[in-house]
Amino acid sequence: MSRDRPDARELVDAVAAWLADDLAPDLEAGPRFQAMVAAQGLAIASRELTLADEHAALDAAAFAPLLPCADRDDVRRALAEAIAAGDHDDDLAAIAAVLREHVRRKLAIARPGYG
Amino acid sequence: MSDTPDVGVIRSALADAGEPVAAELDLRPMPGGASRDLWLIASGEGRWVLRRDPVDEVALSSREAEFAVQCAAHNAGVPVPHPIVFGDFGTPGMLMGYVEGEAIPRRVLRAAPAGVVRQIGAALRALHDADLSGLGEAPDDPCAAAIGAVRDELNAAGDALPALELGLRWLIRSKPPPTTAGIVHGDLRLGNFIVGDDGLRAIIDWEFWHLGDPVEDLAWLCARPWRFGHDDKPAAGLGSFDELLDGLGADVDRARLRWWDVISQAKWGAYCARQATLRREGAHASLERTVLARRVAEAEWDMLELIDA
Repeated sequence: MSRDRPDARELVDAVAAWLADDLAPDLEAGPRFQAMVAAQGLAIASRELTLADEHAALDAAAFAPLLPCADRDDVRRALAEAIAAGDHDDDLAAIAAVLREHVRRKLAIARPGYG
Repeated sequence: MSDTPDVGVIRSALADAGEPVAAELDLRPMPGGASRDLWLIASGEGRWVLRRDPVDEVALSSREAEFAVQCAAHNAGVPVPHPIVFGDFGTPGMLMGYVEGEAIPRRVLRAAPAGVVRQIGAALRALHDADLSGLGEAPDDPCAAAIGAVRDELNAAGDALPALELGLRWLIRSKPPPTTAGIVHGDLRLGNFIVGDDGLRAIIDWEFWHLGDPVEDLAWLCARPWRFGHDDKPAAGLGSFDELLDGLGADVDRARLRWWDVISQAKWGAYCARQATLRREGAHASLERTVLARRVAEAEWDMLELIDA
């Protein structure tokens, strides 16, 4: 469905750019640091707006086969609980491989380029 | 309780301890005390620091115990600000000598001379040899205690973090046997060193000290978040692990070190995640801590890399 523009992501990007490019350079060191942290928070939010649905689908597809009997509403929590209960102790390496891809997706939102 | 400590109380505490305090005493807040209340005291030629609990907060750690461990470290030859006296300064606190130098991580990275990592290693060796009497009982199994602390932090965070849960299972199944307990600083990292052009001048902020496995400090010191991007220098972003061992004067059980490397990341990740929960609960309103919470993904990544290694 069409929405009014700028949409949420465009607004977040505009505010982040204003904080980092227009506001921060004229501030003293302390407030400038805070402004850059704020811009960083908005950059994370912007990437999440773009990627969250895709990542949720990829996580669900990756986690569901590991959870034969689990509640499918929140597979991430179900997997966390199953691991904590020791259900996967015999295949931690295989689970770790799946979780690396999951964390890679989280980093694509929270800190692109980290790795 | 006043926000500003009583100058008269400070002056007589210093005089009673034999410090060369003059008639006039200047007191000003110091930046950098993120969790404790720090004051710089100047009188005559002398400079001191008051480190006390903030007035508006229930302290989770004891300043009296911190004073005791700083005395033990000082007596063992570890470079620390000279501990002078513990007392009531509006809130519980300690007076100590002022140490000139740089503590802010990015400035330390620029200012630290070669060899500082060796000095940190030597300081740790002295700490490991410190007299533990009067410091309480060590836990029977420091590794089990560390696992319990991460479990508690994750439960308090409440988020579904399957990678950290996997890390905890790995930690439980790989737990090294108990070892001889020593003093653990508990937050040994860039930011808690005062450095000058002559190198390491003091290890500060003993708030999180405990008796435990000394390897814990080595792992935390070398954890990736405290390298501030200098991943080619694993020891605090300042030097190599071999330099650290050289200063320590002994090798380290690598399996034990790796275990503490993994739990350092799990602990950091759980701490990050918790900051979002604390925000939702109204315990803080810090933008920095809120955004920091998303660094949980970095800790999870680094932890999985270490497990896989």
